[in-house]
Amino acid sequence: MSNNTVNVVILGAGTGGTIVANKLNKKLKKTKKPFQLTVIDPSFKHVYQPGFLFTMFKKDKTHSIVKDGKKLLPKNTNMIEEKVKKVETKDKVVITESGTKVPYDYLVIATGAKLSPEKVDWWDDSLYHYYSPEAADRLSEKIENFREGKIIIAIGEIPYKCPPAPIEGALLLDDYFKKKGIRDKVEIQYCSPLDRAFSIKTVNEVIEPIMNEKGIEVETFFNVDDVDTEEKVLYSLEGSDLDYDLLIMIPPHTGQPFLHESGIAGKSGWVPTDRETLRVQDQENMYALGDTTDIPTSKAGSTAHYEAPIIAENIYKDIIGDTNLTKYDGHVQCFFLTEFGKSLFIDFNFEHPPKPGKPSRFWWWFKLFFKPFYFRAVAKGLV
Amino acid sequence: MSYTVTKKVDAVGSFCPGPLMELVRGIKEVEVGEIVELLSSDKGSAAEVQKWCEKSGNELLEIKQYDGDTQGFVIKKGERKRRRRRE
Ligand SMILES: Cc1cc2nc3c(=O)[nH]c(=O)nc-3n(C[C@H](O)[C@H](O)[C@H](O)COP(=O)(O)OP(=O)(O)OC[C@H]3O[C@@H](n4cnc5c(N)ncnc54)[C@H](O)[C@@H]3O)c2cc1C
Repeated sequence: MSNNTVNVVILGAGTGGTIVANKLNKKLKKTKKPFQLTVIDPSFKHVYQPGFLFTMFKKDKTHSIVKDGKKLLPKNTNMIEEKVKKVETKDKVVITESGTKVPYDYLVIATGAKLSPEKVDWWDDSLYHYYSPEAADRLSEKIENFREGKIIIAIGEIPYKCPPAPIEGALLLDDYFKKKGIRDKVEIQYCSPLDRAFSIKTVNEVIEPIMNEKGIEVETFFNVDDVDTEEKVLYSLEGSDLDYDLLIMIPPHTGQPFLHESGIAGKSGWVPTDRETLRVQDQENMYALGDTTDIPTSKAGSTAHYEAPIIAENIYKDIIGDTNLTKYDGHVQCFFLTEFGKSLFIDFNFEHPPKPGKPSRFWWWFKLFFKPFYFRAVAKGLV
Repeated sequence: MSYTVTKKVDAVGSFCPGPLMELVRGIKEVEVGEIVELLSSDKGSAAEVQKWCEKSGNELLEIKQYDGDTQGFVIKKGERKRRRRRE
């Protein structure tokens, strides 16, 4: 530890990085030792990604879901607005794109998932999706002008962020066209890579019947193999081919490339992380949370939210010499929108699968309330 | 049964839908007629892998039982039912 100051460096100022910075700041103060908290992010634009399900229908504005991330961090944070290029794990130094060297005693990786369409040879930039602010805006124009035909929602590859989001998209499209009075002219089909619509069986038992009831066709065991954007045909590895008028394709995801280049992660970029202590495997004083980990659970903001205090606690314990590390139990809570006005709520951990009830108005209103609550309290580490 | 495994995919410890997705990735990487062995300790895998092989035209040659919960699913890549556009 240089000059006795504890240097804690967080990579990424999204959901996980911001919450962990706020939680750590409080914990580090308790050690009574001098410390420096540094957060590195290329833009400090903090995106509330659940909002894409609203901006894609023009039911929310992009500027209200993208905020200045610097304002969400503790004031005493050293903020470096740059992309991380490499981590020299032996020397414990982070190197940014401009060559700035940032030494650390503790490193927290929170660089999320990267949309990596280049990973597959069939990707075409004319495909639509709603996994970035720009893509959701572009899709919103297309949806607004869509009058009749067939819409397909398909998954580029597993894993992807927020497992409910593609099905929520299909369910909201159904409601949108119903309310427009043209649902009878619009066919909606959902392609799942699995033998059921949703990965978690207990949730699928509620969701798939709702999709059937709403006339959303579910095509199972559909692993995308090719897309012909001129002829408008989607092909699966399993041998099916489907015609479409509008294809909404969730792009393949990977971890950030610098993690592989630094020898922290494998080729896929997902960081091998102990699912309980959240320590990065085979690395010293290094933790990871959120979408970047390889932990077999949902890539969700909620996951990062429940992981953040565990990391803050474990770094604190390490500094004060307490070897009894706190463990993450896999807790995740998610909304699952079924129409404009109704939502399910699911709550689970590594041991207990979710027991979803029925979609209700209550959880819908809770979901709407959650956005301001997220920026005011959740991101700031107050809850 | 005699065959040579071209690719082994170790999905032990990864839970549903992990193993099936690992198998899909493995199958994409081998040629028709070549063999992939998927190792899985997830109890749901047997039914899911069988169903997927039937639908996708790949042949499940054997299910091996290893120590503990680990099973090995030996799969021969089948002829694609439909040609891809670019082929
Ligand atoms: C359509 C949609 C709906 C969703 N709905 C929900 C929901 O209802 N509930 C829920 O819990 N989750 C939801 N999510 C998922 C949730 O948004 C993510 O899981 C969450 O943001 C993950 O947090 P994170 O910190 O891991 O990554 P992010 O929030 O994505 O942050 C990653 C940060 O790392 C930075 N970064 C990237 N590369 C570098 C680099 N080289 N150097 C430095 N910094 C870098 C980025 O700039 C970014 O700020 C949804 C996602 C989508 C797409």
